Amino acid sequence: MRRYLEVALGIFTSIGGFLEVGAIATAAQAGAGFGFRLGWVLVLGTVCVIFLVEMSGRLSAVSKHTLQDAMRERFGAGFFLVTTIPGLIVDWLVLAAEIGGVALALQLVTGIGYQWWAFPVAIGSWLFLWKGNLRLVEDGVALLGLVALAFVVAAVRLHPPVHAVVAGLLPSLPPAEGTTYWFLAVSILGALISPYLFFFYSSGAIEGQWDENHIGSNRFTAIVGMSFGAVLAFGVMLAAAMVFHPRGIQVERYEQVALMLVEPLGRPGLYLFAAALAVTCFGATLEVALGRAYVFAQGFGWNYTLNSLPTNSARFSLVYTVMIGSAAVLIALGVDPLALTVFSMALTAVTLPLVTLPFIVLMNDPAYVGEYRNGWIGNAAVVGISLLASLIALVAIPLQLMGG
Amino acid sequence: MRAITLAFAVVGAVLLAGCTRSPEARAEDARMKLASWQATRRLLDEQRARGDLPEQYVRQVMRAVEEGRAQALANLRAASAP
Repeated sequence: MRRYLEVALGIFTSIGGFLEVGAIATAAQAGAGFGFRLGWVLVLGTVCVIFLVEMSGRLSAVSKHTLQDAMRERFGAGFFLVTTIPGLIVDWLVLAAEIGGVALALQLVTGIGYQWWAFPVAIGSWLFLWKGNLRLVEDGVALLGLVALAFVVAAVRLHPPVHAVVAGLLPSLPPAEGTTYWFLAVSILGALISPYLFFFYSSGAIEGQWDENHIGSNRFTAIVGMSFGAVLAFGVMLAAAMVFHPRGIQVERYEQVALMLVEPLGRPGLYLFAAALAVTCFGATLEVALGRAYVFAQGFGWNYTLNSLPTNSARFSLVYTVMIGSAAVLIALGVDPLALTVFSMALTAVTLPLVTLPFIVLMNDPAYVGEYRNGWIGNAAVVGISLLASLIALVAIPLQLMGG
Repeated sequence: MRAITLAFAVVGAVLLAGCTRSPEARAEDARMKLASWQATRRLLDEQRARGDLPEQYVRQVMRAVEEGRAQALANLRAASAP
């Protein structure tokens, strides 16, 4: 039972942090534009996320510090501010995109414009956090998130050619439109390797009172949880590759995306798409808002917990309240959620090194991880991920300007 | 420190200068988007004919198609203008 509850954290982190509005949009665009050829980017991103999530959990279990807390203590308040300000801006935009995702899902089934749903979605999300506890948030979203398996069912029913799918898992050069290919590759990585995911997961580990006995289950949770998210994202890419790519359809609007589930599943496909979009974006809304509240609370030494009354952690509760309320304004004003998603994914990519580079120091510092320091595989992975993150940060904006 | 700032400025300027797209590339992009919206319309019509889509959703996609086509045509005209 305890193992199940721990895995629920991984599944929830995966639903909210891995498969969300950005991953659905970029995976659908990748499948529509390049068939199966960008499958390798999903695999690469998943491996990166598994390593970093496992390290976030291990750091928290051993040091009893959250990732943000350890970064502030190890690198100082100046570093905390340098990483917090860009992170806050990026998270705010991502949060708006996630609220937009839920609002769009409601638009698809009701016909009422997404702008009108911004505040009801924000209030629903806020109430969930205000009235609920971490267990409800984790288990509720993890359970509801199973509806996203519809992407996998759709992909299987479309009978993708196995040899082409497998070939797509190996890195390849673009056939043409190189800028778009590389921009999508960068966007997929930006969508998957989301900094808030690591902050949230490590805070969840502290809230769950993990210790050294959780090292094994943390590894299991990171691998199973993130792989679950990867399978769902891969389902999105395969469905788009089978339905949109042969017809030459590019994904420009979310309204188009539902068509890829209607093709194999009929009318229920539309409702399943809307439900999957709503649940995954709702999970991400909670995760981003909580992740940022944890960052502030841990950085400034405030009380923080979702497991007691909000009045016991007033400033922590105020942060997620303000984050959700202000992000909803952006959507209510009519900002296009897909444009916002693409923009926020590129900005996420730019800020990635600020989060990945500290792992190299923290995961080798005996003061934090004791005997559970990174081995050579972990260090090679985190150095590789940091180099990749730096490269992504360098090319993300130019690629976007070049019309990616 | 000034040298590092200068190096970053030069790299940034070179990257941004390389980001300008030619009119031909913009026109080709607009043509592809136009074709994409026409293909979306065909797929929508097929699924609608099978009775797989509720009318309120069809209206949403039709609106997206019209707006997308109009934007692509405007981009095509702008790219083709002397």
